[in-house]
Amino acid sequence: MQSGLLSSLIILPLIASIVILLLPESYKGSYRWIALIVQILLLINTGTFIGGFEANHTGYQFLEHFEWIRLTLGKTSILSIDYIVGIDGLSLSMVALSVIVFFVANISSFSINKKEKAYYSLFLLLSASVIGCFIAVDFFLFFIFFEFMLLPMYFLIGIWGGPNKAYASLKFIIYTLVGSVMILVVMIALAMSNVDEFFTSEYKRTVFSFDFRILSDQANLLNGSLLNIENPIKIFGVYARDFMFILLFIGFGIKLPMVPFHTWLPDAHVEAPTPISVILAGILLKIGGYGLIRIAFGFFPDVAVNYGLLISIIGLISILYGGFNALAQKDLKKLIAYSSISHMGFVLLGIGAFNVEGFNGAIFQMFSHGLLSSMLFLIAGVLYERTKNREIQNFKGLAKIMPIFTVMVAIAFFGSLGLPSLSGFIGEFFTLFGSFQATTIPKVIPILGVLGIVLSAIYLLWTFQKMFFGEFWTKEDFKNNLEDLNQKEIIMLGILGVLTLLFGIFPNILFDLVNHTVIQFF
Amino acid sequence: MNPESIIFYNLFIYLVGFVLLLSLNNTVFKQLSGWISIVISVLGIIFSSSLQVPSTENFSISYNWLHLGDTHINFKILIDNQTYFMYILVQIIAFFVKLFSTKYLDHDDGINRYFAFLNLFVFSMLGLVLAGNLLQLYLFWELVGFCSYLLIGFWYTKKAANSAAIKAFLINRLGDAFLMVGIFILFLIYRNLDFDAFTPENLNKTAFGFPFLTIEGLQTLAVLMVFGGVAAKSAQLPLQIWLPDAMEGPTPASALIHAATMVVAGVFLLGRISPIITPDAGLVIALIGGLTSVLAAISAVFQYDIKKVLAYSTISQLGFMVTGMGMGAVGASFFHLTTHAFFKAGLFLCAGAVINYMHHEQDMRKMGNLLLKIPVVFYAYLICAASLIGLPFTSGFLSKDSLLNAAVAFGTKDGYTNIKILVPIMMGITSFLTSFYMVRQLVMVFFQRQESPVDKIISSTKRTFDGAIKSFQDILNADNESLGEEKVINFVRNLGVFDVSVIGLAICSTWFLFSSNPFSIEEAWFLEVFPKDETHFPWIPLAVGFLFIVALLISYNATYEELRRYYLGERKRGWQRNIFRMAKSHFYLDSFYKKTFFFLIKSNQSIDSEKHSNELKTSTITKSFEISNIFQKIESNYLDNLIKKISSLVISLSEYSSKIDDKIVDGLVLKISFGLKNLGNNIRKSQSGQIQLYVLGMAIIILFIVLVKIIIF
Repeated sequence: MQSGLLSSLIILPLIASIVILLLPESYKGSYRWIALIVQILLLINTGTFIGGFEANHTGYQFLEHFEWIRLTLGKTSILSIDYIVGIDGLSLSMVALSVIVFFVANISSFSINKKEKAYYSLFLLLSASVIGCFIAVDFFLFFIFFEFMLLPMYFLIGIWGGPNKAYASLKFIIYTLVGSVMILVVMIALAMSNVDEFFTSEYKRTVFSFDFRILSDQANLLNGSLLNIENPIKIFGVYARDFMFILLFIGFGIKLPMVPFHTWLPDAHVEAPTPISVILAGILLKIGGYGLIRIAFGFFPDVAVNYGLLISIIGLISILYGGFNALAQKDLKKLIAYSSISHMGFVLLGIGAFNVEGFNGAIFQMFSHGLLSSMLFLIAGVLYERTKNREIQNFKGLAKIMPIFTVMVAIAFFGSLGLPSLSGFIGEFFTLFGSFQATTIPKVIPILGVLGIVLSAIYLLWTFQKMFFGEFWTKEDFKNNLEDLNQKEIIMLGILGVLTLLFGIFPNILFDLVNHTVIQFF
Repeated sequence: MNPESIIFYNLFIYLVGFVLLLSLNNTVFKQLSGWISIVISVLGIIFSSSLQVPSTENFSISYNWLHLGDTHINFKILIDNQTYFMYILVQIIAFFVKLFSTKYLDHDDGINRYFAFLNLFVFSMLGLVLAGNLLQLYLFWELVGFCSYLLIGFWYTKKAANSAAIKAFLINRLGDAFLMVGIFILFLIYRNLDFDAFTPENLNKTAFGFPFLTIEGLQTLAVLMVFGGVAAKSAQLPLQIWLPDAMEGPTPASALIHAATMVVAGVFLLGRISPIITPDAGLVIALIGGLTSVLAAISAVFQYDIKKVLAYSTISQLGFMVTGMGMGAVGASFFHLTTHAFFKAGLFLCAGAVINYMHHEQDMRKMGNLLLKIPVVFYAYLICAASLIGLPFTSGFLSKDSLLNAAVAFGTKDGYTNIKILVPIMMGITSFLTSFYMVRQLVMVFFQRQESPVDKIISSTKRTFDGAIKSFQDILNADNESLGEEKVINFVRNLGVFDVSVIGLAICSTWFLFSSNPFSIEEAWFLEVFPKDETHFPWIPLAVGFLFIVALLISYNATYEELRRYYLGERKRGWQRNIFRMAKSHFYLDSFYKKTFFFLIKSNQSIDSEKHSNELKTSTITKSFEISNIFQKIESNYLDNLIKKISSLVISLSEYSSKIDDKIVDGLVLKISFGLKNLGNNIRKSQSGQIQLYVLGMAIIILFIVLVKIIIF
C-alpha cells in the first residue's frame, strides 16, 4: 500500500516549513497558525494510523517503499539505499507521543515573538525530522533524520535560548555528534555485513542493504563478513559484534541520556526556551530509547543478552544519581532536568531486563515520561514567563493565588513520583517488575531501583511544599505578575493531564499497541 | 441489582462527589458541600446494604486490565466476608465523620475541598477493600496514602501541617517500596498476583535469584516485605512515627483516616495474605506488633495533647490487630479492627467536640470540668473509652477478649519458655496501660477540678476518692435531670450534629451490634463468620477487669498528682525527667530518624521557617542535603570538569595540530613549492637557447638510457 499517507507525516511539516520561509514578513501573524494547523493535521493523521493499525500483526504496517540509491561497489556488489517508511507498535507509540508533544509545544510557542519566521520554520523542520526518525525503516534514512534533527535544534536553543545559550547549544551538538559518529560506524558495518537475498538473486550481485527488516534478521548476515556471528575478529580486545553493540549503546545512551554521558542535558534544558525544553525532554530523549530497542537490541540480540546486566547497572546508577542530583538543585528547571535523567534510568532498567515485561515497561515509561516531563517543563515555563525567575526558594505559598496552577502541578508532580492511577506509576512499576523477573539480573538491582521512587517522592514533594504551600511570599515583588493560568496554559496542561490520567488508568491502550511488536524481540 | 452494578454505582457516586465538589467552588456550593457529601454517603450505605452477605462462596468479577506478553493482570473485584464488613464499615464511619465535619469546618474557606478529599478517600478505601489482586490493591493503597497527604496538609498555610503531610507521605512511600518488592517476590513464586492464586498448588518451585533461601524462606521474605508496607500504613515499629504528627489535620479527618479506616488498611492486607504467612514470618509480625503496642501505650501515658494520646492509643491498638494477624487469629483481629473503628472514631470525634468547645486548645491540663458543660460528649466518650479499655457491655470487651484468648493460646502452645510467651505478656502490659491512659484522659478533660486545687488535692488520697464519687454522682444527677419530659424534648432540640454523630458512634461501640450476650465471645456472631480459635480461657476477662481496677486507682491518683505539679509549676527532676521525656517523645525515635535517615525531612522543617532572610535559607539548604550535595559535587567537580578537561584537551590538541599544520605540513608544502620554484628558476637558467648545450644534454640522456638498458638486461 503506497498511499503516501505515512510520508505525509514528514512531508507536510516540511512543506509548511518552506511556505513559512517564503511568506513575506507582513503575514507574520499567520506563521503560528500555519504551524498549528499542520500539527493538528498530523494529530488527525496519526489518529487514522492508530485506528487502522492491526495490533495483532507483527512487522511493519503502512509500508511505503521507494528505491533511492543504488550504488555499484565494484563488479560484484551493489549498495542499496531505499526510502522505506512504515510503523509497528513501537514506532506508532512514539509517533503518537511526538505529535502530542509537538502540538502542545506549538501552543506553548505562541509566547515567542522574536524572529518568528525562522522559529516556526525550524520548528516544523524539527517536527518532520523527529517523526521521520521514528517511521524510517531504512537505517540510512533513519540516520539522515537523526542527524538532521540537530540542525534546527542547535539554532532553536542557540537563538531563542537563555543567557548561556551559545555554550549550551554547542555542548548539545557536540555530545550528540559524538554519539552519531558511533552510530554511523555501526551503520556502515551492519550494511556491509547484511545481504538482501531477494535482490541478490535478482541482480546476480551481492546487494548490501540498510533495510531494517533485513538487518534484524541474522540469516541475512554474509558469511565471513565483519559482523557475522562466527566471526572471531576482535576490535580493541572485544568481538566485532560486541564492539558494535557497545558503540550503539553509547551512541544512543548519550541521547537518552545515561549517566555519565548526561551533562549536556541540564545545560541544554536550562537555556532552551520552554517549548524547546518540552520537545527535548518530551520526545528527543525518547529517540535514544527507541534506537536502543530498535537498533541495538533489534540487530544484536545475541550480544544484548550478555550486556543486560551492564545496562541495568547503568540504569540503576542513572536513577539514583539523577535523583540525588535533583535533590540538590535550586533551579526548578534544573531539578526537572535531573528528574528526567532519573526517570530515563528506568527505561534503561527495563531494556536491560531483556524480557517482555521490561521492554513493555520501558516503552510505557518513555511514553509517560514524554507526557509528564512536557507538563513539568510547561510548569517551569509558566513561572518563568511571569517572573523571569525559576529559583525554588524565591517562591512560597503559590497555592493561595494560583489554585488552578497548583492542581496542574499536583497532577504533574504526583504523576512523576509514580502515584498509581497516573501514567508514571505503570512505567516505573513494570520496568522494575521486568527487571526483577529477569534471570540474568541480580535482584539487588531492581530492589535498589525501588529506592528511586522514594527519592523522586522526596524531591518533588519537597519542591511542591516549598513553592506552593505556606503563606504567600516571593523574594521580589512578583505578586502583580503572578496570575493564575490563562486559557492557553489550561489547554496545554489540561490535555497532558487528562492523557496522563487516561494512560494511568487504562495502560492497555498502549500495551495493546506495542505488545506484539515487543514479543517479536524474544 | 446485581452486585457488579451496585459496586459500580457506589464507587461512582463517591468519585462524582470528589470531582463535583472540587470543581464547583462558589459560595452557595460551599455551604452545600457537606450535605451533598452526606447524601452521597447515605446513598452509598443504601447501595452497599443491598449487597448480599457472602456466605461460603466468594464473589469475584474480573476485567481485562493489562497484559504484557504472557503476564495477564486483571482488574478484579473480590467480595468475601472481610471485604463486605470493611465495605460497609468505611462508609458508616465516613457518614458520621461527614456529619460531624459539617459543623466542625463550617467556617473554613476550603470546605468544598475538604469534602471532596473525604469522598476521594472513601472511594480509594472502597477500591482497596474490593481489590482482588495485589497490584490493584497497591494502586488504591497509594491513593489512600495520597488522600491522607491531602487531608493532613489540608490547612496548607500551616507549617506543621505541611511537614506532617510530607512526612506521612514519605514514610508511606518507603513502606510502599517494601510492599513493591514483596509483590515482585510473590509474583516470582506464584506467577500470579491474584489473592486467590496464592495457594500451595501454584507455588513455583523454580523461583530463582535468591540462592541462599529455600522456597519457604523466600515466602517468609516476601511476607516480611509486604509487612514493611503494612508497618508504614498501619504505623508499626519502626515506621510508626508519622501517625502522631498526622494529627495536624482537621480532627474529623483524623478520626476517619488516622484512627478508623486508612491505618487499618495494613491489617486488612495482612488478613488478605494470611494464608501464606509462614510461621516464622508470623512470629516476627506478632512480636513487632506486640512491641509496638507496648511502646505506644507507654508514650500515650505521657502525652498532654488530647489528640496525641488518642494517636498513640491508635498505634497501640493497631499493634494488637497486627499481632493477631501474625498469630493467625484472623477473625479475632478483624473483629477488633471493626470494633476499634467505631470506638476510636467516636473518641476522636468527641475529642474534636472538646477541642471545638475549648476554642482549639488541645492541652488537656488546661481543660477539666467539661463533664457538666458538654455532658453528651462525656457520655459518648465514656462509652467509647470503656470499649477501648475492654469493659463489659462494650464491643471492645468482646473483641479484646477474643484477641487475648488467641494470644494466650498462641503464647502457651509451645510451653512457657518459648519466645512466643512474650506476645501475651506484652498484650497484658498494654491492656493495663490502656486503662491507665484512658482514665488519665477522662480525669484531665472531664472531671471536676478546683480553680486552685493545690492544697485540697495534696491532702490525701481519701479526698481524691471523694472527688471521684462526687464526679460519678454528677454523672447520675446529670442523667436524672435530663429525664424529665420537657427536658428530653429540649435535649433533642438542642442536639447538634456533634452530639448526634458521637452518640451514633457510642451506640455502635456497645455490645449488642456484635453479640447477644455481652459477656461471652462465644456468642458473637462475628466470630461465626470468621474462623476462630477453639481454645477459650475464661480467666481473661477477669484479668482484664483486675488490671483495669488497679490502673484506675493508680491513674486517678497519679493524674491529680500530675495536675498538682502542673499548677505548682513543679518540674520533674533527675531520672524521672529523663524517663518522662523519653516516653513523651516516643523513645526519641523521631529525632533518631531525623539525625540518621530522614535528615531530609528535618530540612523541610528548617527551610520552612518563617524567616525569609535569604542567607539563612540558603545556609540551611546547603547544610541539610548532604548526600545530594555530594552527588552534585561529583557532577560539577568531576563529571562536568572531566568534560571540560577533555574539551580543553581537544582545543589544545587542535592548537597543536594547527601549529603542525602551519609549520610542518603547510611548511612542507611551502618548502616543496619553493623548491619547485627554485628548480624552475634553475631550469629556466639552463634554457639558454644555445643549441650546443641541447645537443650535449640529449647525448647524455641517450647515453644514460643505453647504460640503463645494458645494466638491466
